[in-house]
Amino acid sequence: MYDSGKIITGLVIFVLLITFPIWYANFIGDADAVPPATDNELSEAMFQGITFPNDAKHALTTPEMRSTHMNMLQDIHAVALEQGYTPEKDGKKGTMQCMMCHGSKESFCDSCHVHAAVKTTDCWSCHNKP
Amino acid sequence: MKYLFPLVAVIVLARIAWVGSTIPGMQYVFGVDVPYAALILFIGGFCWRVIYWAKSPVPFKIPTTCGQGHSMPWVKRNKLEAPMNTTEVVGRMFMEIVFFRSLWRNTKASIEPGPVLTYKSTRWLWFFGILFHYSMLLILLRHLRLFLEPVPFLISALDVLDSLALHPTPELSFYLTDALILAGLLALLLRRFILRPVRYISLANDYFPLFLLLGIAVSGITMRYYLRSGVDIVAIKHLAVGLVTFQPEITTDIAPIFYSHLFLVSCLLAYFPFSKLMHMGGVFLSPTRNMANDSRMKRHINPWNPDIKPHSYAGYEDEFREDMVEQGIPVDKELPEKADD
Repeated sequence: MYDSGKIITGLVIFVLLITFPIWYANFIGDADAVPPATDNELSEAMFQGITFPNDAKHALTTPEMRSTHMNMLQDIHAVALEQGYTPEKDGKKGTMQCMMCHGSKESFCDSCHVHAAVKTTDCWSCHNKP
Repeated sequence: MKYLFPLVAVIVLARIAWVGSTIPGMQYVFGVDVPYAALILFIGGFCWRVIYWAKSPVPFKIPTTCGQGHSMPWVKRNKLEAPMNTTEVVGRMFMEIVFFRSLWRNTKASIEPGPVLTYKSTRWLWFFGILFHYSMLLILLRHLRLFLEPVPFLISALDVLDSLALHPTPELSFYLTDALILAGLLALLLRRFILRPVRYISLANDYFPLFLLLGIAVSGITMRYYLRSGVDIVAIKHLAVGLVTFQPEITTDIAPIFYSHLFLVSCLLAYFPFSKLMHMGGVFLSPTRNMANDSRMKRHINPWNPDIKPHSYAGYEDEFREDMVEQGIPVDKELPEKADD
């Protein structure tokens, strides 16, 4: 093997870079910090009767809700806009009704949004933080 | 027709994972076993290939020079096109790897009315090459948010910078790099379809990586923006973090399109070391780029030269003097006087 010093060094750097998530997860980060898989305190019965302004249905499982809640919220938001709500005219709206069952912004929204680094527009410029 | 087989192959691969992941128990295979195997193949294959290359000797000093080399002090020399020491070689390699400088200098000969032979630079290949490679790099870096917990600021900042606009509806928070990588890949593919000389030399193994990368991009884009149902990012991150901490588990059913995407990526990783995609490592090892143009200053010795010792006439005579004297051949140095009896 020729130029083994340079080539082995290069390969080692390459492998270390490729496997960076492994070093990060095991030695730097906090791999155990995960949001709860399900909100155990809530029963299916609690959301059977829930109605939304646009007649959308509350999805039945946490994963399904996590996958599609953004579209659902946006549809509801569209209804509110149609009815002419603006934060200037009507003042900040109270919580989105979700928080009546689901607790606070920190535990309900942020736990996943920070965890998966999903950023959206700021909901809280028009809505009051619960 | 050389493109048909690779196209069908990619579609079949995506279908295998799509259908396979709906079979109970197979999610673990497609989500854990296949990615691990692919990663081992990728890293092992990559190292094997580079070491295999490193074992090949470079018999000649063969840097391509396309500028004035080192000469008399009053002759202005071109440091990047004819580098004469390691620093200049590093500069040249840097420009090559980061900015694809050779492609920037790409020229096309054509005959203008006159007739005059002209050389024009054609930079669109450079442009779409840059477009694809840098989009790919940014997309890879963005994906780190699924593996790293907590997500480093730089990665989440990249995510925001890459989004055209922050919007709760996924379709409206379109990633710029998603569009650019498609543009780059489609242009590189169309180049092989449209340009007749390029079409003539294109083989199945030229089309396959393009279709595979397109498949990965399209499945990823579809999953993020359109087929949202069952794509629970928290469950996906749980799996990804599990993979890098070697405690993988799949907590909930994830939509088949996720497994298609992951399987195509696994195929890319496994295919990588054994294909033309190894230009990623190979670019560092190209002798025409990484050697200094100093053949008149330093002697380059072919490593496979046999070890031949110089044999002077004096040495030759020393070896055969007795025989030469015996045969009456004149010698420079006579036989030593025999000791007295």
